[in-house]
Amino acid sequence: MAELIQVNDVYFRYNEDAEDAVKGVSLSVFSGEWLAIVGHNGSGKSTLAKLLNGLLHPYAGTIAVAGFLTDHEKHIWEIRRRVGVVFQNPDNQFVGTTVLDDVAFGLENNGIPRDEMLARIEDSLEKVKMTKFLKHEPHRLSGGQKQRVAIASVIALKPEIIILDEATSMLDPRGRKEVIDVVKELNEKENITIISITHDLEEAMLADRMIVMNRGEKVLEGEPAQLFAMHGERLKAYQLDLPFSIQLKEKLSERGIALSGQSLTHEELVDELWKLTLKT
Amino acid sequence: MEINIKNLEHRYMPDSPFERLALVDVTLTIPPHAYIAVIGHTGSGKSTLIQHLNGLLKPTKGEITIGDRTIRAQEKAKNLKPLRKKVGIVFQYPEHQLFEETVEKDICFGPMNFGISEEAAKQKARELLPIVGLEEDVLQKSPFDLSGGQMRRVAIAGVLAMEPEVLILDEPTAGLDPRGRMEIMEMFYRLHKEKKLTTILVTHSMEDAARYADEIVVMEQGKVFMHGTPEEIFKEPEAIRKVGLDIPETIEFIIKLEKKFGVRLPRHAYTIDALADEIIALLKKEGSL
Amino acid sequence: MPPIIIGQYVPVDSIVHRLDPRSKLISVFLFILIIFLANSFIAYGVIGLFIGAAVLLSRVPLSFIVRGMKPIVIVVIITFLLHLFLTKQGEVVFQIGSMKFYSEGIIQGTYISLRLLFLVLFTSLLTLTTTPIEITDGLEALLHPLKRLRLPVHEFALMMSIALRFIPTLLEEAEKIIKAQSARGVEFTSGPLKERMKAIVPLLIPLFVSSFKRAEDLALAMEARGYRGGEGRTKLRILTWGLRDHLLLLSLFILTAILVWIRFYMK
Repeated sequence: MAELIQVNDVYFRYNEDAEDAVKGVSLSVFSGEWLAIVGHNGSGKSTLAKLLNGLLHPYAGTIAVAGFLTDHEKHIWEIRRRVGVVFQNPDNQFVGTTVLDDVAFGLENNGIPRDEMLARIEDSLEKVKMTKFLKHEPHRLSGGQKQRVAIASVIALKPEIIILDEATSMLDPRGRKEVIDVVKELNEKENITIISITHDLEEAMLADRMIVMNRGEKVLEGEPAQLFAMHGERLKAYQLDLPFSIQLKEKLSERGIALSGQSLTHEELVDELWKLTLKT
Repeated sequence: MEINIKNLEHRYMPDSPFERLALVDVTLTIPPHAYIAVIGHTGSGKSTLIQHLNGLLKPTKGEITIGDRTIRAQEKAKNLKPLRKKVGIVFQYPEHQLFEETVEKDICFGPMNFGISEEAAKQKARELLPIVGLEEDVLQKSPFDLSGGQMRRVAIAGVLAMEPEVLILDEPTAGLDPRGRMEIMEMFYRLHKEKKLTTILVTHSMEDAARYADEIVVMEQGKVFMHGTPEEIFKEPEAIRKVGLDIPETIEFIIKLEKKFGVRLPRHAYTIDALADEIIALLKKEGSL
Repeated sequence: MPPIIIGQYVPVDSIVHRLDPRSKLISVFLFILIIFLANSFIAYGVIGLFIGAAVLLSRVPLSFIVRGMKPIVIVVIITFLLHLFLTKQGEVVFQIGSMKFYSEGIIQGTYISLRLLFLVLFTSLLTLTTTPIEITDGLEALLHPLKRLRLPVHEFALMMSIALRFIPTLLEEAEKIIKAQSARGVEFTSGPLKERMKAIVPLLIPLFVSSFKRAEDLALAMEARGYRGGEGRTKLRILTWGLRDHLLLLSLFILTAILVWIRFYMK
């Protein structure tokens, strides 16, 4: 897989007197993958997201997106076209007075001709299943619907990467599911690279790869299932939860039942328990 | 304090083209000192329901009795202050209500509105800090200099400082990380027990509802869809799924165990610890331990 | 959440709704000028007919129009009474006690009242049939030549449209804060005036704080979507000037001509 983003020993602080919000982070993002960046509130994960498309600039280190450097004035618009961001608050990123206007906003900024604009709007709203809401004003949409419009606005620009900056944290379970389903489809069918910044572990489990942030540093990196299975204690120390199955296995082993392997689904666990009864 | 809701109906903007029926014929009794969870989708009417309990909304039909106060649809509701002192609400994203220059002043704002002396209110504020998990040195800081999680705790302290007898929590942990979420829920549960509060939790999380509540009220399209103890509610997982809500993961796991093992299990394990105990008991019964 | 009405736009389909906002804006502007030509009952009658036709064509239910007129009825009545009491010209028409009422007073009072009524009626017809965003677009297009004078026309229009977009959001927010502070014992609707004035503070400060936060978030989101000022931008919303817009302006010119003829040539 090709390397899309290269982050090289990056440091960032919000002002001179403040502590570093991101400390010496290096990482790569590969084309087509789903990368989760997790950490508790204040761990630096959202700051990192804003560094990736040049909304913030590091005071040391470099970030390159598809070969363009974020600290280069001329490159910044190339980067922003390639990296779309869906932010946390559904209301505060809805610029247009209607769904149609909102999706058009980014296209207008990039000087896309009107005919193509209309085609792209239709196409991207269809991908997020919001075509029926074309003329709706934002206050008539649910949180999940607004976030789907935000995603449509982003994909209308044909980005290579979408960053979800805690994009589901203000949604109810139904809205969260709507958004996740859409993102999954974009990742699988359109081969768009996903970077999801989250503290929701169920969401992190969907990723191919996971990076754990703590106090501005990258502390763990790997496949989610593996990290949860092998570094449970450390993750808890970083104020993160563990998925249900890992927690249950832990509690069972405290009670003298050791389950093997990396069974992560309910069914796998139930099967293992069932097998215990067969042995005797 | 007992709460009685009788045939409550609420219409937003009645007699206008935008009229919307939010609650239909809701009848509900909440016994004193109970912990009730109200669960349902956005738009199911759960927030509308709780806003009737301290007179923020008035019924368009029916009546509500809270302790010795009754609010009826046809009567003007006058002098709601005593009621509002007794019924505290922690709204969703309560940090949005902060406005004073210092944390101390903001916490004292509510109690002083209800006629408590400044001295007593300040005393109360100091007592509350450790309870909500804040250090004493935040008192003289501006609430806007704090982190999001700390602001939430200040706002919660501001409601607790009014010493309500009924505490209504409208998704108090929305947007927090897992650790913060658990700390806040545990804190409310402790207060509920210690101060003998009547607690009404509005939530999307079946997990929290199951873990803390004595009774669960499931709302759907402005009506009470189900009402019972968690165990009664989870006897009918299909009904819950039908309205698009989830059942707690522990219960889901138990249902899968039941199928595999061909047994009936009690459905009251709402923590992973309790579930592990349940599994051990099952394995013992099956003779494999 | 109760729905929120912005402006007074009535979403029905009519020829007036489909007019280009530019032609409607120009018409309102012209109308304000030519109504001062009218100084006879015949002239007011003609204008009345014109407005009546416009109202019929707009298909806006009469109840909406009546509701919109309510607030100004009092102003109209007061204006009429002032003229009635203060004008001392013409013949005495009738007398109550020692108060004499003159013909000129009645006539002038009626003229002024009609003028006010017609003005409000015609302008509200604009807002009843045109969405705020269309009005913004129309204004931007009409003001476009001012760009040469380095006036920030694009920025002004964007500001308007974002303001329109956020009015319902802020109203919702204000309602939430009012509820939260009411629950903390603030009385917004009862109690002495001084107390109620004080109650504004716990509403306004949180509203400001959250608006600043929103502005910050919005700026970031706009930047992330590639916003960098008006240069090189294309536009989705285009205005189309059609035959009906020509006809509207033509009808206004005819109205002007009639009014001029009535005023200066009719004897």
